[in-house]
Amino acid sequence: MAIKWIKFRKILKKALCIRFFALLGCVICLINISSFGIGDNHKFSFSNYDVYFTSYYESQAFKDWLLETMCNVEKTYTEALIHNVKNDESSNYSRYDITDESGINYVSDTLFIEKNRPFEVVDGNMWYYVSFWPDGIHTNLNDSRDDEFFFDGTVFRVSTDVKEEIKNGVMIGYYSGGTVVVRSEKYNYLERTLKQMDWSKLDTIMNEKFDRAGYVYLFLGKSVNQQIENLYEKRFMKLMAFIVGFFGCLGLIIVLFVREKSRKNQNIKQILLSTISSTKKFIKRNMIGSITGERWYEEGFQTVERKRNTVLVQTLGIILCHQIMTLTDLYNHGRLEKYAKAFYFIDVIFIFIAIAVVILYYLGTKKIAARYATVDDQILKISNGDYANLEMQAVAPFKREVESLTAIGKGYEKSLEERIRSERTKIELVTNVSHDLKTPLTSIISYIDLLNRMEDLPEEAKDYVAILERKSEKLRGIVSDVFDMAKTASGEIKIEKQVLSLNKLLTQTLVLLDDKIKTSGFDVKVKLTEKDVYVNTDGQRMYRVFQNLMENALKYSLKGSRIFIEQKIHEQEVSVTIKNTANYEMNFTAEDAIERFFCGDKSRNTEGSGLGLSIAQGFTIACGGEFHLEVDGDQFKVILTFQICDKMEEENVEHI
Amino acid sequence: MENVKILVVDDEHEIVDAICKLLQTEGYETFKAYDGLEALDVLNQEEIHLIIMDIMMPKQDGLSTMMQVRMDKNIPIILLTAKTEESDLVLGLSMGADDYISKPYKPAELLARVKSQTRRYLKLGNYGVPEKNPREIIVNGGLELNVKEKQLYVDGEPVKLTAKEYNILMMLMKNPGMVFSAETIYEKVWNDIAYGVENTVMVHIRRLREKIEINPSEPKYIKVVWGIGYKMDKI
Repeated sequence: MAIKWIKFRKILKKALCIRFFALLGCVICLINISSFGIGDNHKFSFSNYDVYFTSYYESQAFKDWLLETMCNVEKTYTEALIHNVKNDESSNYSRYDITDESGINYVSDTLFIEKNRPFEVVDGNMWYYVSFWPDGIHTNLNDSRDDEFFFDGTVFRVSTDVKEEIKNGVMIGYYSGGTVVVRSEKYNYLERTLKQMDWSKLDTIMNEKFDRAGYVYLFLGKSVNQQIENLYEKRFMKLMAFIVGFFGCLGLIIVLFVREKSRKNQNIKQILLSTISSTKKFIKRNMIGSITGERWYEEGFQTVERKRNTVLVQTLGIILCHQIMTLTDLYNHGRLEKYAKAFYFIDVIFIFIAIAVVILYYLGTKKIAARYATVDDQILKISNGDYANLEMQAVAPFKREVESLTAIGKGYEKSLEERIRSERTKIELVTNVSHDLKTPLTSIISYIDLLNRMEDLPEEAKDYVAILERKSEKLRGIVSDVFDMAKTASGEIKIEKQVLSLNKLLTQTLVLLDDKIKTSGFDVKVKLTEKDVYVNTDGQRMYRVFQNLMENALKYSLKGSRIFIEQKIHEQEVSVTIKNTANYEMNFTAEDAIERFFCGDKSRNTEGSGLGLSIAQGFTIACGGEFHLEVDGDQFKVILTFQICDKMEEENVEHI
Repeated sequence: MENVKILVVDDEHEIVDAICKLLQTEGYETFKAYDGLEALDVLNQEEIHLIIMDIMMPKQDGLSTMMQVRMDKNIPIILLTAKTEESDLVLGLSMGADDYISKPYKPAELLARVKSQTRRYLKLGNYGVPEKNPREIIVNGGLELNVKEKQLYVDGEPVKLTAKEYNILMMLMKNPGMVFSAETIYEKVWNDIAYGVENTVMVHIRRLREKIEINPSEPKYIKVVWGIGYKMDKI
């Protein structure tokens, strides 16, 4: 019990450990994913555009501040717009909508975006990023800071002094590690303001306040959220299927290979073939199921295990998917080299986590596969009748299965033992009873004989004594048969095998029965093989068998019918068939006939003990032969089959 | 002739009584004992010519009693037993029993065996009959084959045999324990090529048995070695 509990706790710990990592992976990747702007709390409406952003280093205070800033910027901007329109209607203010082609052209012209690396346009929405790093500002806008950053009518920008910034009525960004907004609007005074700003101050402050790198994505445009989501979905599913498939297969091949290899008596080719086919099946059933969130393992996995594995697989997929997407995006926007250090640091961590997840997944699968092997072994043991070595200590997730199988095995073993014991008791009883019957029977027979010798008995009494004599003789026969049968059934008879001629044995038997055959009036047709056929058996016992069978045939044959005895050779076997036509309707099956104490005649009013066939069968089997009985209409047929012995052992016979 | 004295030993009183009555009707004088120790007492007091004894008895069983008897007496002993297991019988015979009969016995058979043993003991055994020339006579158990006279005596009684039967019997008796196939017997006795002779030889053996055996279905002298041949064991 104690051992069981400790084992159970160990398993529990391991299970928790795996779950913890799975959960951790999940959390990390959710944070990661949210950096794609999926989370709504990072969405701001800014004029006609939605702004999405995210950061690794956000805090509630920062979020609040950002929200406030954005609101203020929006307000100021709107005011400025109105002001501008009101005060300077004739000014060359114009508004471009980046969803128009003209807008795109404008933006790309005015923002000096490199032609060979155009910003991405997804269904009419643009997205850029501008990130602030300790080593400077990075953007996919043309980033020659002093010149290009400020140009006619567009904007951006950045200041450490946010209030001041707002006063200037421009918009924007701010936050170190942070980022930007791009507007395709033209503001002359904005340009002036920006030009007046002290940019050197920014770097200083950034270096002071933020010692770590960060980045922000900004998505600009209408309904970007949906687009991003679609994008994410597609890539995610594709990647996840690939990753899960690849690593899953790899892990499984290893697991199954190791498992198969440990099995003895199988050559490599078989192992490989079975590994491949079982891997295929496993992936088909389980991997696909895990992606779609359905059954993980068709046979018997518990819900919890299914969930756990799904979580593992999905976590793995999400993390790797995200990393690849990030790197792809960065590469597309040509800034990979500049971010390299920081990204490598983060990515290395993620990659390690991903590997850890794969390993844990592998270990989990291996463990489960190993435990499933216990169930497998258990079933095998039961089917082989090996009840003594059943596994008693079951562990999750197959605890219940293994325990049930053990219970089945033990139960069957018990009932089998009981059956054997009851059979043995029965046979012992029969032996003892038949033995105990002999003593009183001896007295009965002795006294009947004495009575018989008395000459002054009345005639009637003499008749009675004659009946008693007959019946006691019959009883003697039965007791002797019962004794033989019990000995055969308990396997106590001594068999002395010897190579002998079956032909001679049959002839000898028939000659000894000659008197009985002659008085019975039946025609016995004997057909033996020309050459002697040698078999290895116990002659004394087989004589009893043939004698029994012949006496049976003589007793129950139809008057005037023939009895056939035929010896035949079939390759390495020789058979002796004894056929006769019954003198009564045999309304029983072959199985019934061999039953102990069976009498064809239900009234049991015959001379036999009903044990003849049973003894014949017992002796034949004990002597190494096969006993087969057929009942076909009125025809009764017994076939005895023996293995032919090639050589006669000459030392058994001494020729003079 | 003086009365033949027979000691019957069995723990079942009824059986002892029945056997005694049976023997008395045939003119034997009987003594009763109900266990091994009693039997030894009777033997010390009376001159007994034959013992019929059960194997399973209280106090002292038949086999150890028999061993004690055999230490100074040569009287014939017939074992009477419900144990039909061959190993017990072989043990009994090897320990000095002259014959055995299993329960439930047939009274006629019991009488025949008693007659055979007493005749041998009183007429042939060390009971006053002079030894005959061993070269002329082959003896095995109760069988005595006088080669010179070509006469067989079974327990002292002459039995008539045909020429073929005599030759077969002589062949078997000269080589006790040896197994002869039907072909060999035929070739030697009939002096002819043996072909399909199993039947012929077996028929002769059967007739021979009927003449010399007390119970032909449980032969003591001529044994069939099933599927191989025939032999006579040294008794």
